[in-house]
Amino acid sequence: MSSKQQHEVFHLATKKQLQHIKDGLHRISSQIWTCLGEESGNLYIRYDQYVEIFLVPKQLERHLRLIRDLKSIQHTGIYFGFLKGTEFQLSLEGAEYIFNTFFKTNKLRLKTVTTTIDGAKSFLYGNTLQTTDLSPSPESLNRKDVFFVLNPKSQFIGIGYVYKRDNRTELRNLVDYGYYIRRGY
Amino acid sequence: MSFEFKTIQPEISDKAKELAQKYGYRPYMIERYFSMFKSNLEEVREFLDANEQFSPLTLRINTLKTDPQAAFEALISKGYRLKPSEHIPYAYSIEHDVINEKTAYTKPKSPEYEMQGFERDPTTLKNIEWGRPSYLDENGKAESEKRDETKSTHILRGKQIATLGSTHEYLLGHYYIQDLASMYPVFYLNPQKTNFVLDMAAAPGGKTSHLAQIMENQGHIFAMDNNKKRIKSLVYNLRRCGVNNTTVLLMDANSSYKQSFNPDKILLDAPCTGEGLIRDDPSRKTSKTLSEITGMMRKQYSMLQSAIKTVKSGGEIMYSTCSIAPEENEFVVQKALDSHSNIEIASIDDDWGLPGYINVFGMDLSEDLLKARRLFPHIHNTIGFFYCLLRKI
Repeated sequence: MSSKQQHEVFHLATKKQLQHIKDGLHRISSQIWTCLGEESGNLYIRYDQYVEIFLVPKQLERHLRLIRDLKSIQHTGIYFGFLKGTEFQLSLEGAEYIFNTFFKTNKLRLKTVTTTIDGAKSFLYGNTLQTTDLSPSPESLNRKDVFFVLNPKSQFIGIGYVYKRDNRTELRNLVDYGYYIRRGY
Repeated sequence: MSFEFKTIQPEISDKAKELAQKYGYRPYMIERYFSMFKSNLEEVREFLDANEQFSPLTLRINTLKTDPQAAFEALISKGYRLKPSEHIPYAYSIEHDVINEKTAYTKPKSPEYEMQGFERDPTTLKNIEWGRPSYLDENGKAESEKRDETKSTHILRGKQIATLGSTHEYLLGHYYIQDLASMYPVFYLNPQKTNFVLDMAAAPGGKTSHLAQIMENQGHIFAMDNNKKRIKSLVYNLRRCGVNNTTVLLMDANSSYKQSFNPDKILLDAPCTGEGLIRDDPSRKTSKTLSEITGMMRKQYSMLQSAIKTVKSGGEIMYSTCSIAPEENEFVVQKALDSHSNIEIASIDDDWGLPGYINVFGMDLSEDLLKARRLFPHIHNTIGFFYCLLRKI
């Protein structure tokens, strides 16, 4: 495979791609991009069904350069999300990384909701949550807000976004930790 | 001495034929067990009887995702009785996969129950007899005609694993269901936080995630597999378990040396005929011929050769299989020793496993193979397993 073809399967995110990722993260919290900084590592792009994004810690980058066939790379570091056109979608693992690294250490504020026991179970089945599934129900649930969803033990279980319809407010499931079992992995 | 990978057909004795009939094996296998257990009929019987019982369910608490004490307590609160491994940190066997009597047979009311399982259905649980299933008769003997019972116990076993594999904690990656024997090679490879480690046949990821756990998500692991379907399971298991220090490569392990990386350590848990797995998969009693074992031996040797070429000088290779066949283990290592003057067998600080064979099937092998380790169902109550640590000089 030529170096040009190699570049087409796996490479550092371009300026344009970084901008799309930054814009996407900004919709969740304006602070995330700043927090990510350089110590977290660099963002790499892998082309598959979607444009996959990986956050690669520094200690991994050195060895990545030793791989001759970049097409063989299926995953590296933290799967951070994907780009669908110009729209960035944060992955479950990316969200958990942000939650653990920046939110839990008080470096960052995030919108979080805690579910009831039934709510957690339902969310892990991939379902949409109603306000009655949240405990306590947040004061403001603005349309399209992205929330980090926690179970009653304050463990991160996924992310959802607010959807409003006919005076009803729902928290729609973007991705959750039941995903793997539902996919049969 | 150098091995030729050819099929050695043993002469089948009447006793071997009788036991093969009784336990439902191919006769050649029983004849080989006589050779492996030094013609000790009693030990052969113990081994065959042990193979009629499932290996204990075991799991490893994943410290990358959770506080081990919290995970332990969460499982205990669900009614699981956990017995810690004597050797492997955070590994537990499950003595009985039961849930609290209070909640097992009635519709759950307490919030604790609701958090217990992802899909746990009390009506299903009601009909399950918990505890390790067995189809030994009153005299402790198994009969091959009891296959229907075997089938039902296998369904039960599947349900037990499914229950343990569907709790909230499992989904969140707080533990990994993994046979105890398969944790030993990773533990004794002893990867350090600064190491660059190659896992040559990594899917579905149990050993890779264990490597990452020991390395505390530091260093770098290349996890390699050549099967695209299996690699998906590998990737998702690593993601679920919070493994961040790994690169997954779709690559044939035989060609790893053609890359320009030279890892500090290599784990080669080689594909095998699975002769150590009979207690969990009785179909293996009849599914493989001797020539298939020979074919597998060639494949394993080829992978080991590639590992030897790939690892850096002074680096280590842990070779392991879940087969008890000497051809897939000691013979492969012996062939590697004969053909590569730059490798030696390193000692493992393990007084639990039995030493490797140095004389079997009429072949004299290097005494260094006493440093290799074997696990047997009737002695260690695990699946049958082999591991050997090699060092590149």
